[in-house]
Amino acid sequence: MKKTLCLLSIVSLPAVLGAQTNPAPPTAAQQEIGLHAGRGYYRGSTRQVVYCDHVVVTNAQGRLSCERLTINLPPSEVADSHPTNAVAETNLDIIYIDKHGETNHLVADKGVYAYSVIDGVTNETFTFGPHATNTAAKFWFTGEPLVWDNIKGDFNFGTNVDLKLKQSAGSGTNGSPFNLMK
Amino acid sequence: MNVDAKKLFVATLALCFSPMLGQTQLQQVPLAGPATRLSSVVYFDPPNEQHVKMRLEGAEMLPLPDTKFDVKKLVVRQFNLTGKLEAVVEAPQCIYAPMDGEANSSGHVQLKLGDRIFVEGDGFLYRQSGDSVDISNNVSTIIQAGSWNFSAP
Repeated sequence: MKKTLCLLSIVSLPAVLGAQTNPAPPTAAQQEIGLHAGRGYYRGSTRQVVYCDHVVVTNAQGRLSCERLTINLPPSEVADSHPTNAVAETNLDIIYIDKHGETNHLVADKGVYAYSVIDGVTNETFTFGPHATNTAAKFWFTGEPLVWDNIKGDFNFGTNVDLKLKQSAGSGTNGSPFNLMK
Repeated sequence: MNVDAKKLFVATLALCFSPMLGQTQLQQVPLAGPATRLSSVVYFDPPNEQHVKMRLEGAEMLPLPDTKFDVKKLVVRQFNLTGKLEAVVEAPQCIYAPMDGEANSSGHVQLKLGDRIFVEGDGFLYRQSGDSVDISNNVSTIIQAGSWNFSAP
């Protein structure tokens, strides 16, 4: 929902979620993605690579694990071999470090990566859900679905948004999170 | 003609005329000696039968029972209709069954998809019919720069 983004702006959440607002330009190390799995297969007829059994994907930013990962490659006639779509299923679990050095933990039933270039405009999104939650030391949030726009560098929380900000330790409180939008 | 040469001759006939393999032709099989080089070409189905779909090569090919071959340094190259290289499968050793259009091994295999995705693992089954490769153990992949800038929120 658009209103969620407005609300987030009002409460200056982007400062908290700074990592999401302006993704850092990828370094050389960030541009290489490693993937390990128990088994996998490639189907030339469908242009798919499928990985199963304890799939782990890593880059400089973090680590993704799931039980099944399907990568769809573009038609072979297309000059750019950039994968057009990838689906991570079952026990999706992502740990990543944001730009502030904070560790985030995102879990969801499913994650879908989509990439396209239409009329010279690149679209690149990550959609997490159902049951997607992101936990960090200072905040926790959920939404259905959570959508990260990798080009715009912003987050759409969908519906059923729930967000909790945690007070920092040593502030004299018990540090319990408060519900911002429920 | 010794026994090995006879087997190679039978295999050559099979490759040339097997309906399962369509336009497959074994191009370089000297019909003598215990070992030889494997070179096979598969073409697309009509009306694109002039275009190469796959090239299968091996540095050394030893005949086995049941019209199978122990192939060293297997390289399979798959092309699309424009001649663009789609995938390359490489294995230091495998068992090749031309009648079934399959190659398999418990050993190492490498798979290169386009110019950005490099897969490897241990134990594989390659099927000509579906242009497919199954890797059964220890699958690792490197996706090269810019191909998938994974950026979690």
